[in-house]
Amino acid sequence: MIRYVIGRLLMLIPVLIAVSLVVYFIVDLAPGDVVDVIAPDDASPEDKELLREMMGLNDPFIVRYFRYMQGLLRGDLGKSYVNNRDVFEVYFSRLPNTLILAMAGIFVAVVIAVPLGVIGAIHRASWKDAISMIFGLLGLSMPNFWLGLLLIIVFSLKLGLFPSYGSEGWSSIVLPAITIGTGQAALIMRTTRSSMLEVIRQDYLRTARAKGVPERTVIYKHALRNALIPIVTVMGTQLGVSLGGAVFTETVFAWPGVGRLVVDAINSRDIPMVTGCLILTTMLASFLILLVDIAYAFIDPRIKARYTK
Amino acid sequence: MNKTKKNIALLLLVCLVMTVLSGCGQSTSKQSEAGPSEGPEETAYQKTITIAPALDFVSMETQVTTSGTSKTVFLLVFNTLIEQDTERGGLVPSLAESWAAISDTIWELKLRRGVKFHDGADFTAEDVKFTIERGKEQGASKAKLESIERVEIVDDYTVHLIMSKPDADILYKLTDPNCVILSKNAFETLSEEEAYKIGTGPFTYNVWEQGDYLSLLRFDDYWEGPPKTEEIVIRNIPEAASRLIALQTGEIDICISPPQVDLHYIAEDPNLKLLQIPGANNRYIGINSAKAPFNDIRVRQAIAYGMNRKAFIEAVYEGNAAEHNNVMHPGNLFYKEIEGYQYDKEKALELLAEAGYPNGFSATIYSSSGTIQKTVATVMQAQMAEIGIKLDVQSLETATFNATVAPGSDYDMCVNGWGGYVVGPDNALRNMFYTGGNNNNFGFSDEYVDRILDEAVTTSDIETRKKLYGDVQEYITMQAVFLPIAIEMIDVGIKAKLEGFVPPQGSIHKFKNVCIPIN
Repeated sequence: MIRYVIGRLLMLIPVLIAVSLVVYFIVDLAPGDVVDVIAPDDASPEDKELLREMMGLNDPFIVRYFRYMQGLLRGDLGKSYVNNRDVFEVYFSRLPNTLILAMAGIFVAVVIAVPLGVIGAIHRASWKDAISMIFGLLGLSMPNFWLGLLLIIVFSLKLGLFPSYGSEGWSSIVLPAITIGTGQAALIMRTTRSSMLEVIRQDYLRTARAKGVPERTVIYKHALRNALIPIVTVMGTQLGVSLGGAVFTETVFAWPGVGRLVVDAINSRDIPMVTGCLILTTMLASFLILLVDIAYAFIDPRIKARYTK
Repeated sequence: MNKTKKNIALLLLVCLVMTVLSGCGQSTSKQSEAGPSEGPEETAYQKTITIAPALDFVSMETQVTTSGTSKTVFLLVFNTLIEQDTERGGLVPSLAESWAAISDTIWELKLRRGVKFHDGADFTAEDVKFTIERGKEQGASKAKLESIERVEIVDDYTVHLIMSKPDADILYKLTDPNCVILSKNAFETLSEEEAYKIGTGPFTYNVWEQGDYLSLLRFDDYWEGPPKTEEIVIRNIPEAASRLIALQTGEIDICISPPQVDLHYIAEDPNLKLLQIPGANNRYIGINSAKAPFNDIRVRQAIAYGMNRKAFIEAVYEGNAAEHNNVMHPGNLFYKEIEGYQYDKEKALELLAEAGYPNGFSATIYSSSGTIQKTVATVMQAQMAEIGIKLDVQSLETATFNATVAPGSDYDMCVNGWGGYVVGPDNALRNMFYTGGNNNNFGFSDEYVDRILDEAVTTSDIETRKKLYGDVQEYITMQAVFLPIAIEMIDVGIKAKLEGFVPPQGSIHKFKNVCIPIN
């Protein structure tokens, strides 16, 4: 198991190098540079050139990239072109907000999705199944920013129950978490339903029922546990996506997370900020996927046995 | 049945607890506190004023950043030498008590005594010399200060600005927030990051959570007396609809640029007030006159005659903007009323035929991805189709757009905006229309314009300057490279009780006196 984990961690190195190269290259390819964004209207072309020279933007791509990688090897992600702030510091000042939102979102999603998925599977082709399918369809189709604004209008403006923006106090997480969780719930619900449908027809469940095991135990202990692997995989993927930031939800609720940081940095061609943030997000997402893989072992003893071999 | 009832009861209980708890959470965390802050008189004022601008505060580097919100904050934390009185017009003293031109190239500034920096140090002539000489090398302040060759200290409270050439606009340039006075002592003893936090203004930096909020606290030793408001919070709420809702729920006190389609919510609410102030931005269509067929003035004139400004005002701004037909902004002291080009489709068709394009031609119009810019481009496309010009609209995100229409590039037409009038008439016109001007992306070069601009900036007699700038702005407008459309409004929603709001300096707001009395 430990060898497997170490192997997976070592695989991260080429992944991170590839991510840094691709991101650096793509942002560099886009027309315009940071000087086009930060230079004042009345700056002369000479001043702009001077600024480019001072920032090292006139050096060839490969020189700039290796300079960046040298810093990265020392653990230095560089400073923002826009406000000279340390990329690492800025990223980690935003990360807790992103983690809170991601966890709260997945919590809302699981609380809604797993019971609905299970009910849909057990009562297949009944009205209960239809309701859960409709919910799934709605959750997938509603755009986040629309649902977010709707929730703000109802629960903040009309009912005054929750704050309309920001990240202070637990009450401010409720609406963003519901917004982000609803879309994720739809996917998890559908996965739960189809996974349960596969398991539910297995012979060992029929045997359990024949032995007189109560239906609730059959479903939640025997069926759900065996159906969990695809569900955990989808949850892990959704959580990984949330770590990159939920840009629309963050924008509507003025939630200061990583997503908006990256989008703002892309718009201002702030290469160190974009590359730094994406490298750190890749690392986090990779750890998360690793955790999901390890979780398989705990859910399914057959996989644990394979790791041990 | 019993089980169902139990479940419903449990659900209701959970809802009740959530409601009570969320109510508690909200009142302690977010509502602008109506704390017992004592003003100089008996009236008590709301402790904190929360402001949500359209764009975020991005940097404390006063001489480097060009962000409008950051510049708004600089006017709270620092002072300039001279201020613009945006209510009555003209220049008023700030850290400089008085100023006089000793000759064409020497300005004498008498400085205010008894001014303290936030670290307790006294403000003196050394700080002025340090700030200006440092600013001549920094990205954003450089263009404003480059005509000053050096600063000579006469005594602790008198300086001479020695100019490399006469610059009649220098006093306006000194009012720009990129020219706020920094503390020499702080830059010598602290890191640059810390030194940029020390000013002489009415508020001091408290907490900055980038992307979330910036908190400023009252400076009790402020030379004009401490402000009535104890804390100003600049809140980043990027989505305009969310900003408006936050104003309606009372979570913020000032909402800048709410959605244009929702302005009536503010106007109809007795607790709120809608302010519509002519902004700095002169929205225009730019034409690359270095390129065929736009190098023929008749083609440019045809386009100008083909533009129906009324339709722009309705379709783009829903009536919330003022039609405009001059390259100069009406807020400038040297603005002259002119007729410019008025919509005349027949004349446009005639001119196109005369220029050899009776069936029109095809071209590309670029805009940035902002809603206004994109809509202007679309309306322009429809209007030009009426006179046979087929426009392809290309909307690009900001950095790409700036690079595409930079001076010397090969674009046809673009949707752009210009707000440079705030730092004087020379800045307003030279950057755009002087041969090789920093923002002259029209490929425009005219010996007459260059000569008049050079003459006007070195003339001290105000009437002569008015005549020169009046003539030249009319001449440039008729050259039809910069086709003005509208002066855009700055929409601001405020709490009805809020006092001390003054018109902005261009797009830079002045919030130092805002307060809300609570009894």
